[in-house]
This record gives sequence, C-alpha cells and structure tokens, in this order.
Amino acid sequence: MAVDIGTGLLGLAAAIAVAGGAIGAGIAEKDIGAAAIGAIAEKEEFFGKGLLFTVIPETLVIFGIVIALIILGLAK
Amino acid sequence: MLRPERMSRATILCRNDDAPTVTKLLARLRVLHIVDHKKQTVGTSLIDIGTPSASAEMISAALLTTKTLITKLGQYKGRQAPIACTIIELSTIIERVTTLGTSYAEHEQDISTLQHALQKIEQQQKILALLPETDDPIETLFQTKRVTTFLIQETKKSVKSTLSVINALRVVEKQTHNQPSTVLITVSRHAAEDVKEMLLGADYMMLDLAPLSSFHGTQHDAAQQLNKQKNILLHEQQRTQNELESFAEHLTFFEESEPLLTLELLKAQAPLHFGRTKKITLIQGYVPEHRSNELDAKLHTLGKTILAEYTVVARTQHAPIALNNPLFANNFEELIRLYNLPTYKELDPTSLIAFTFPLFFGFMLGDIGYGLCALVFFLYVRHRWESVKSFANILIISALSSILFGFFFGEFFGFEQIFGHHLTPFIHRAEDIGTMFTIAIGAGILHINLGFVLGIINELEEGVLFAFLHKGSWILLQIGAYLLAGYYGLLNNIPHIGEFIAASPIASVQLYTPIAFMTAAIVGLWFGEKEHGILKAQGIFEIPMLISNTLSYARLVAIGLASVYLAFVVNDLAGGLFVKGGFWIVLGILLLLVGHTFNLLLGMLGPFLHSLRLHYVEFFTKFYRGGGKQYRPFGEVNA
Repeated sequence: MAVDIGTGLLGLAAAIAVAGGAIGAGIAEKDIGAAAIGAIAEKEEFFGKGLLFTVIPETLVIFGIVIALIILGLAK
Repeated sequence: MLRPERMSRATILCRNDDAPTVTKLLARLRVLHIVDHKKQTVGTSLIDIGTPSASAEMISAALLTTKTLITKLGQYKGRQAPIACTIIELSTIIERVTTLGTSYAEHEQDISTLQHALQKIEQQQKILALLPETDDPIETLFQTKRVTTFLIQETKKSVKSTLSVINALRVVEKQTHNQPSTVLITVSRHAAEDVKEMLLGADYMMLDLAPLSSFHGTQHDAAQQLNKQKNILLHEQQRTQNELESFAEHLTFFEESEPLLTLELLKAQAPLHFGRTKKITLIQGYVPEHRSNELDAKLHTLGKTILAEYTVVARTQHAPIALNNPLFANNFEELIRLYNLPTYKELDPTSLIAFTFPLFFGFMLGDIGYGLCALVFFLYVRHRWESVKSFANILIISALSSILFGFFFGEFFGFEQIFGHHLTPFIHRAEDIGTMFTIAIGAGILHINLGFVLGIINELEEGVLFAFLHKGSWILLQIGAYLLAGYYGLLNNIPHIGEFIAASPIASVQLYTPIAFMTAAIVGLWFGEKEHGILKAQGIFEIPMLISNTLSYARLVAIGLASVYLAFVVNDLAGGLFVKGGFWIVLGILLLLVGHTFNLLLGMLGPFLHSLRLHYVEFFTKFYRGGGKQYRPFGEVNA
C-alpha cells in the first residue's frame, strides 16, 4: 500500500504521540509501582489502592491516543 | 439513600451493680457504638474510667490459647475426624481450653526434649564413625594419669610429615573413601600440650571425644547401644507426634469457641470504655436513630433503675458512619470503603456509583462473548471465595452490563455474528470513533457536573453563597466555555449533534454572553476560596485540571478500542491458519483460546481499574472529602 509522504509523516506523528505518552506513563508508573509494592509488602490490604494508584498516570497514554486520532483525522 | 444513617447520641446511666446486665444486653442487641469515656470531674465528683471484670484476664488467656491452637492444629486439619461439639457454658469452655492447652504444650515440650536427645545420639554416632578401629575399650581413650588421646582429622592444608616426628605411644589411622582420614594419637600426658600445638600448627582438625565419655566397652558395643537408644527415641517421638496430631479432633471445638470467647472478653473489658463513680456507671455512644426506641424499650424491660437519653446528631456534627443504601447498591459500598468513608455531613455517592460504575465498565468491555466469560468467571469467584463476595457481585453486575453493551456494539469475541446470526451494531465502535468519543466526553461532562452539583449540596451547610461560589462557579465556567466554542463554530463538527448545535441558539450567541459567564465564574472562584494570599487563586489555577479531567473520559473509548483491535488481530491470525487446513487448524484454535483469554484478562482488569479511577479521581474530587469513622456496634465480634 503506497501512501504519499505527507500521510506517512502524519502516521509517524501519531505514533510519536502515543509513544511519548506511553514512555511518560511508564516513567511515572515505575516509581508509583515500586512504592505500591513496598506498601503491599508491609500490609496486604493496600493491594487494591496500590493497583489503583499505579494506573493513575495512564491518562498520559489516553491523551497520546486522543492526539494521535486527531492527527490521523487530518490524514483523511 | 444518599446520606449515611442518621445517628442519635445515647447516654445511659445505671447503678454499678446493674452494669454487667446492661453490658450483656448491649452485646446481644449489637446496636450501640460505644464511645470511650475520658476521665473528668463534674462538680466535685470524679467520673473515672471503669475497671475490667475479674474474669477478663482468664478469658483473655483462654482466647490466646484458642487462637494459638487453631493456627497450630490447622496443619493437621483433615487428618483426624472432628469431634462434634455443642455450645457449653463459658466456665466449661475455659476449663477445657486450659486443660487441652496445657496438655498440648506438654506434648510439644516432650517432642522438643526427644529431638534434643536424638541430636545428641547422632553426634555420638558421628564421632564413633570417625574413630579408627581398635580393640581397646572406649574408656581408655580419655585422659588418664599417664596418657592423653587425640582424635584428629586431616584437612586440605594438613602437613602429614608432622605425624612421623611426634613421639607418640600409639598412632592408629582410619582411611575412608571420599572422606578425609582420621588419626587416633596416644601420647604421654606431660607431652600432650606440645603435641596438641604441633598438630594444630600442622593444620589438623581436633575432634572432641567428650560425647563418647559415658561409654564403656568396645566401639562395636557402643555402636549397638547407640542404635538401640536411637530406635527407642524415634519410636517415642513418633508416638508423641501422633498424640499431638490427635488434638486436631478438637479443632471444631476451638473454632466454635473463638467467637464466643472474643465476645465474652469484649463484655468483660467493656467497663474500660465506661465512666464510673462510686455508685453509677456512665455509658455513652451512638445508635442509629431508627433503632433508639428499640434500645430504650429493651433497657427498660430489664426492670432496673436505668436512665437513658437520646439526642439526634445534627449533620453539622460528627458521628460514626453506617452506610445506608438500597439492596441493589449494597455491594458498591466496598468501593467507598476502599477509598474512604464519607463524613457524617457528606453525601454518600454509593447509589450513584451503582449505576455509573457498571455503565463505564460495560462501555469499555462491551462484547457479548467476553461479558459471558467474565460473568461465569465472577460467578465462580463469588461461589469459591466468600471474602471477596462483594467485589465479585460488583463485577457480575458489570459483566451483565458488558453483555448489554455487546449487543449495542454488535460484538461477539470481536466478530459481528453470533453462532451464524449476524449482529447489527447500533454503533460500530471500531469505525465510528468520532461518535464514540462524543459519547465518552459527553458522559464525562455529565459525570463531572453531577459531581459539582453534589459539591454544592455538600457545602450548603457552610452557606448557600459559598457553596454556589465554590462549586457552582465551575458549572458557570463550563457553560461559558461551551458557548464560546459554539460562537466560534467549534462544536459544529461534532458527529450527530454538530448539526443540531449549528441550528440551535448556541451558534447565534453574542460574544459578550460567554465572556460574561466566564468572568463571573472566575470572580466566583476567587471569592469562593476560603484561603488567603496566593491560595485565594487556587480555584483559578485548577482550571486546566478541569480540561484534563474532561478529556480523561476519552479512556472509555481508548480502553475499549484496544480490546477490540486485539480481538480483531487474534481472529485475523487464527483465520489465516484455518485457511491453510490440516494441523494448522489445531494451531488456530489454540491461538484463538490463548489470545482471547489474554484479551479477556486485560479486558476485565483494565475496565475495572479505569472505571474506578474515573470515579475516584475525576468524580470524587468535585465533592467528596471522606474521613468518616466506621460505625461498629458493641457486640459485633468481627468488628
């Protein structure tokens, strides 16, 4: 499937938007995850809260996807 | 329904002699949340803290023994047929627990002593095995007036030539396969110290012969004697262990006694929470308003001189929290507990969450096949693990919601057909992404503003103007922002509703209207903040947060899309294998099973956590503070 250079660049931009969000979320979740595991090791009841706090930065990926979809919309 | 149970503050006065009877009644009724009395002086009389009853210490010891034995005997559960037990008197329970506890401890002590003796024998056997064979009796190996005997073992560094220069009376060596050789050296006593130094200097290891000091006769006799002793001890150890395991037949008795003893201990220690003068006992606490009459009536049926007073606690004051929700929302109280209980004056959002949580979950998972699998899985979890029943119920409701949304999106494991019947989707979510985003963001706007409305209601107690400025300004701000977007025609491209907006008065609004709304909102946010200095502008600083919170609802689509695309990929790959035929069909089926199981697991975890997050982060921050204390009625053993 051949696409023109403009569409290709838009695809690349969309990929960067998602990747950037995912890397950001990963960095944020790294620290939260470590702290959550520490808390769970101390007290097992923190499992639910620990898991919840860990997913909080995933908003960054969601924003990445929104931006990506907007970018892909430009390609149509 | 939207508020925690209304509480009455109860104050009960009775004579000290009647206090145990009143305590017994309160424990049976399980209605009064007792508040600890603080030592205080009223007029000239001191109201001190009460003292626990004399039996408290005895019950406490019995309870400790019971808990210990339940844990220890748990490992033997099932090996012994349990003895059926009937509820008996407290004194009999304590006596039986004490007797069994003492006997169990004695058995444990016996096993420990036997183990110690066995270790000693094994040590002796070890030394005996290393000893080079001689015909001399063992007792001659020990230091006498004339000679000293050493047992040494060769190491990797040993200097063997040392042995030849020692002026020994006797040298006997023992060489064993795969083991360093040992040497028995007898020297005259006056040379013993020098020889010892030489041997240690030559890196030989000295072995202690002392464990064999109690033996007489040849090495063979000693070995036989040790074997015999060891067999006797092993037999005895096994017998004691069997007796110890037989205690497991009393496990049912201990398990049934534990809650009873816990309750009795609670009653015996209850005076520690009461106030007490020389003649009067004072009990204070909270009782749900609708049960205060019941408590009063029961207290008066005791026929004692009891004075009880009940005052309804106003919503502005503090009281323990008993959540009060209709049956359909009961399970969702767990989600509130996981976060934080509301305070007495706050709204309890459980009933609202009971609608919105499954709605969000279903919107994200939305597939008939996945919904059915999740339903079966959580029905099993509910049946198997009693402790997570509430969470399982929440997920069962959510799975049902997924099935309904599955029909709405026309999906069955990612396919648009179910057993040959074509499914007609209302919205094709993998293609009509624009509509999906409109629904998700629209749901977010409604959800967030519902939060602001609840926030206004929560803060009405602090003043109507304050409530509207602090929370209402946010609604004004959004109206202004949407009108402004409408003025610039930004809303006209929204799928389905864009045309409607373009034709509505929103499109023809004048610029000053949205600006007026937004200015009023910003002024409101400034004056709605109680803090001073820079914090006065806290609300204004948080405006970008509102945008991020609204956009966050896009996850409702994103999570669902990830699940849909993963299902598509699995189906496409498997489809490719099916076309090849033969062995590839088996591989295709395997791929379908593994792929969809993986997607289902992600599909259950993701929507659950993200739906929860939308409530905790986006919704709760608009109105909810939490921090209430759980209502724990006196007499509830697991409280």
